[in-house]
Amino acid sequence: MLKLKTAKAKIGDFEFHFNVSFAANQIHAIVGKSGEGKSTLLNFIAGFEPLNNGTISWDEQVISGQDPHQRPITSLFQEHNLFAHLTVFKNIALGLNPGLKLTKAQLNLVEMSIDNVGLRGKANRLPKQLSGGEAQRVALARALARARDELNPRPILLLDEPFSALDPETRLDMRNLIADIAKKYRLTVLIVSHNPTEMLAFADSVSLVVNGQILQQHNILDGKLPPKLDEFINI
Amino acid sequence: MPTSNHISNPLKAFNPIKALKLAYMGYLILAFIIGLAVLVFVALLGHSSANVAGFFNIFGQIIADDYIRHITYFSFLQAGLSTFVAILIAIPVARFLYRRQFWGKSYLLKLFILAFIMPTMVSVFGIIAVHGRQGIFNDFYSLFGFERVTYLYGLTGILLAHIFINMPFSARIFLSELDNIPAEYWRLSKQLGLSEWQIFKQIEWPIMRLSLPSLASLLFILHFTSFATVLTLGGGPSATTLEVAIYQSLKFDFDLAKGASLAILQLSFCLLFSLFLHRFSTQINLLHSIGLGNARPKPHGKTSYIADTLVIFIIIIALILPLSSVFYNALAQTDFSVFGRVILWRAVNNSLILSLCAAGFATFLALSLLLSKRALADHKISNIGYHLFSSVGNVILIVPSLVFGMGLFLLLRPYFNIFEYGLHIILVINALMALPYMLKTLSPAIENMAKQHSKLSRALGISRLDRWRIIDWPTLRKPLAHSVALAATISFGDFGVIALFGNDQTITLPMLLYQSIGDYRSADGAVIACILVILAFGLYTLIDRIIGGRHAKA
Repeated sequence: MLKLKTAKAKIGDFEFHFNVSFAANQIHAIVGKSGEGKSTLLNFIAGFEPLNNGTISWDEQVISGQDPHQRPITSLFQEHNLFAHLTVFKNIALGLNPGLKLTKAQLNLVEMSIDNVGLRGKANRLPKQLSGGEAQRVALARALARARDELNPRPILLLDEPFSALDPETRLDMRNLIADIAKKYRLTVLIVSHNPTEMLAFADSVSLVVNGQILQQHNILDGKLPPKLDEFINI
Repeated sequence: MPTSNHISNPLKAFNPIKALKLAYMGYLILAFIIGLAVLVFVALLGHSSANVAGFFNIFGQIIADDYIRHITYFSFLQAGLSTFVAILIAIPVARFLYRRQFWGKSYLLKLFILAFIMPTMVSVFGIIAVHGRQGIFNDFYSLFGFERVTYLYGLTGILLAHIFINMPFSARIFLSELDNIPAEYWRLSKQLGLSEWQIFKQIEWPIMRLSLPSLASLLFILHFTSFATVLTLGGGPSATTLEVAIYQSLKFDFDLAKGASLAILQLSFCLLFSLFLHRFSTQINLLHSIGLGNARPKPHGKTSYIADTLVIFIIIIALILPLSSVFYNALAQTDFSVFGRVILWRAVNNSLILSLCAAGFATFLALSLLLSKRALADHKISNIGYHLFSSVGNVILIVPSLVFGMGLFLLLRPYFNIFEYGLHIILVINALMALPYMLKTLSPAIENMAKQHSKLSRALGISRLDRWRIIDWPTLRKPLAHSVALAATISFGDFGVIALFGNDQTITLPMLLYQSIGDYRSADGAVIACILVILAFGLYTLIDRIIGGRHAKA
């Protein structure tokens, strides 16, 4: 379980205060209007923004004191996930070892991850030879490889509006792919979206962020929220 | 709808009459510049020792003539080394400026620009003040009882001056690339735990490398045709370049045939280089780099600490010391007799008028060319002229100013007393020198405007004049102010063709400074250098404010 306990911080004049937990091996949607602090929540968890107070823990272990690269986390951004001069293979390999020195098992893992996201045969391509959707798949393959790395498994995946640069059809493919992979390889996924209805078909829980806090958190059953809560999601 | 017909159907066929009608100013200027270049070429070829039929004989002569072979070799050597070292130093300097945040950084970045647009003779003076026999370093040695040493003149001096002028420029180009690194890369590097070396290898170097080809070829051309620096700091026949040899053959030997042959040779090399430059040409946005590496992981570890300390030392020695010694030397003077000399005030007067006229002429050329180009673009006409309108500015890179001056001299000599009209010739050449910079700064602005406003203006039926007044001018005045100011400053500080044609009547400030360095009148030199700098930057700021409006950034 990923747990934020009285996690507080102040950025400029904006105060954040998060008290929330996310069950392991599930997909959690983070929704809310822009500027309410959805992305900042992910930045705290990943360690890109420091906390002033409180803790973040994973599996009862406090991770909030660790550097970003020590945490069991992989982030996937809206764009710019790949280094333009590196091939697909190397972009993924960089996630396992920043010096690109991989063990035999890790090399296999990279190959498998490429297959898993449906990019078999494109390992030697450069990012500019990929479509926007394919580039996001490479980033997903990197996250998957990191999650399954035996030396240092990083099972938490943080996604910040990963579909907004994609066309509707590719969005749907990408969403299904993430759902499949997350279930199959038991990833814990937090996904920020400004499109709550899209999240209903996809996530196990949904959390509403308002003014730097989690206002409500609900489980989703059969793609539906409890009826009276429908309105909060229609933002 | 007969009137909208030609908007919706792009004209594929060449329509010369319509194109001429829309863009006659552009075509006139095109004819003027290209015609001038061709005349210069023909004049040079006619006077060169090779006959017109045997143009390639000139290349045969290089191999035959030891002297020409040597200066050709030296031209390449100093240009290659200067380019290599300036860029090599600029890489860690740009990284330092990007990754460290400190007080006064924005002022330091302004100093970098200052070094680039500083009059070349002043830069040379600053280098002499630091490295010369009576310079700061030798003062320092002699404190410890060592003999004063001469190490400046020759290749060393040329390299030092070229690094001083172009390293800061290169660093800012690299910095503007670094500023383009998306914030996501820095988060990624934190999450993946990249070391400083891996950050350089995987993130910073790949993006800096993008501007390398265009930057390196531009610097190479600038160094290859560098005149004032080599003339002053070369210090002898062993360290002479083609550009200086052209000057010497005309000024000292009065050997027109040799001068013309050398000019043809120089022109051929530059034509070759500019083909490369054209292939690599990318937008160079000099002033938009700020070095905001806030999202980047803080540099840690001994290596980056040592590297940045070294970089600070290099910035102090290569940049700040020569810059400040210009002011220090002037303030430390007790002999201000130069203020009483008529020739100083004549030079100030000549330089100011020359630079304002050249800037005005360059502005006229640039605006006419680009607005003609836009007029054609509005009507979807794309012919040869269309592409030449924005690239004709490169003529001065192919025909360097001294070669141009030499050619005009040969061309006009039968009709005028060329020395009386020296300033007029220089005005034209200086305007052409400023043209590539102006076109580069203005063309993105004008093209953007065309995209944004063209259809709207035509739909609303706004006349050309009103379009200029209401729509174009407000959006254009900032980049225009910047480029006019730059043109005036370049012209004000230029020391090139004036060395050929200048006399006591047509003297300019850079020429006066050159003379006082040559005559070892260092007191006068210090004062003149200081006046030159103050006026150059005064001119820049004033023009930028007047044209750009009150809120223009200097």
